[in-house]
Amino acid sequence: MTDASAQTRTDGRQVAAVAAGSLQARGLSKSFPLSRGFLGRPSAHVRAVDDVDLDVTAGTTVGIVGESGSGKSTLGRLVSLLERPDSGSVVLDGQDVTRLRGKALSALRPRLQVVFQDPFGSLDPTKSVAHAVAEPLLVHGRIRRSGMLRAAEELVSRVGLDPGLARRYPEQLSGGQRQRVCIARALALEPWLLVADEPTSALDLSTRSEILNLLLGLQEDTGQSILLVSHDFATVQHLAHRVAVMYLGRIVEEGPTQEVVGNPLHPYTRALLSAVPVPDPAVQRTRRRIVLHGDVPNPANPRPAAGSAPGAVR
Amino acid sequence: MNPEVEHAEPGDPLLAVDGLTIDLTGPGGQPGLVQDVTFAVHGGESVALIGESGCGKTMTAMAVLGLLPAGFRVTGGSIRFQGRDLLACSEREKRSVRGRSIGAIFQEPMSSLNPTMRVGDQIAEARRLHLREHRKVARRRARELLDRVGIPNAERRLDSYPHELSGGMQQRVMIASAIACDPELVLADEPTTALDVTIQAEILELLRDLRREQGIAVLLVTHDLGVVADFCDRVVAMYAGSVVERSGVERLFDRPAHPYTRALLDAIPQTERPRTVLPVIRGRVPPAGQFPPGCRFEPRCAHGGHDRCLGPQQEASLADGRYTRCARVADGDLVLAEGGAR
Repeated sequence: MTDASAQTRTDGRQVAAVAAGSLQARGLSKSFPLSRGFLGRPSAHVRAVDDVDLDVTAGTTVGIVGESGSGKSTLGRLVSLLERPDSGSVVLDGQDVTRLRGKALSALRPRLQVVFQDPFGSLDPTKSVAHAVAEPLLVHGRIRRSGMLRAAEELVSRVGLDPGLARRYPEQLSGGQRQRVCIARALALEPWLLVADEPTSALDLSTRSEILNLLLGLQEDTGQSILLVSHDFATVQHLAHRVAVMYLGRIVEEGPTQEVVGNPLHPYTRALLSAVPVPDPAVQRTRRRIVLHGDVPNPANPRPAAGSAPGAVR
Repeated sequence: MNPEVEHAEPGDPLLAVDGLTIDLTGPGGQPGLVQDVTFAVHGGESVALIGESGCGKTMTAMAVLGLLPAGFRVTGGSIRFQGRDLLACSEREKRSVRGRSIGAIFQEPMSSLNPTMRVGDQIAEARRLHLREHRKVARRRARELLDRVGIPNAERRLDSYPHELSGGMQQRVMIASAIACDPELVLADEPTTALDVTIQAEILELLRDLRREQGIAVLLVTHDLGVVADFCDRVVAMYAGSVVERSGVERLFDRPAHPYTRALLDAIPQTERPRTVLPVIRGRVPPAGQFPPGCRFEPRCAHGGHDRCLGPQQEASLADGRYTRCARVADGDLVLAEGGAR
């Protein structure tokens, strides 16, 4: 991880793209109001995302890494239009989709789909897998109710599950199977972008590799574009062509994954990478962690130089 | 008597778990949820208990603390701490060990700390109960402990409630109360899983300092092999309720002695090979009570289907001090790939 490997890497932008198109986010900002303070102090705002630019090219995976509170999930929600930004724009294939409403927004939704972290919380326990997976097709009028089971069986087998599972209920599935079901549901409408927010964090090591293989295979087969939001550097490093490192609502470093990992330029990236333990005792025990000094600023009240990490000291 | 003594300093181990078997009793009970688990922790050393969820790691740790949930009963084996058989102890005696000689840290600090109690009082409580210390003395000691675990403004923080602290700070408070009575052993069940990596690194650093400066031994339950590589001396790998391999940490990563540990190592994404298909372990951990009669890992094993896999597997020691519960590896019939090679 620390070696600035001299091997040439394929830059994400050069990867053969089956699908065409691009997504550009420009100047995205989003603040959330905090509840009124103690003794009636005026309510403050958290700047969850602060003037962020992000590009996703067709057929590539862009990773967003950062720690809790860095705004990475909010950025994922902004890009997938689940959240409306205070300012900035999201442009999909040249069309500014930021302020779409009503029918226009509904018509766009199929192109941006999301998989969430918790496969237990994101499936309705009272609905069968078939219903969960094929419901988007029904809602968008692509199939009739009678065709749900067949459509679901097809989708379920696309994510490597036995079609028979379509008749089961979420509680009868393991964590890894549920996450596959969530991915199948997100793929039902053949989205242009799949936003995966911590898709492997709730899973065991061996199940994690299954989901990583699935996402990788999907991308190679169909040129699926993926925005991968994760605090797990290993996951992002394995899948992402490009990675953006977030800190206090801002992207502090962005670039081809191998370059960011091999030669991190921002002190925060260096500190973050040095804190990820390498699963090899011989290597791990020779590494030195880079410690950031100074308190982490409160996101609600960032210092004037907001977004810049505290100084790094070796 | 104890097979582990040979590669440690002379003297009995601090904690010796021998042939531990836990059953779920009552209607719908399951025998052998945890089956024949043997391992030891010596003074000052750090031992990892690894495996997927549902493999019995936490159950084993809870048995050591004497905190098994209702319905679960130890039906075989022994747990000796400093030579004393914990299973034969009365509840009162157990309580004097737990919290005093064995400290515990759990995954979710917020659910382990009492939300209605100031952190200073929670830490002092351990000393007042176990060491019968006076309130004022215990409070002073609590302040020192908060200092010790790296909480700034310790004097002021004594009066904070847990919810006023960040996750990392809460875990530090947990550690302060776990070490309040100068225990010999700290049992840490996924102590950093809920934390960010930079905070995780700080917490591991703190535990490392405690080991070095106070000689506290740590039994670390985790599924993060990076944490194991960083922090532990020896590893006990569990699968479906039994120990499949025991080994020194370098050995385990370099030359795993069981197909399960080999498969776990293979499932880690490798830095040098991004965007390659990762080997997976087919199937999943069988639910308790549906363990196969022979080798419990056999249905998922890449090297299964052999005659030797059909019978119950016994733990066998290898020439280099490792232990495996794979008859084929023990006989030299199966040689697993070394290092990161796939």
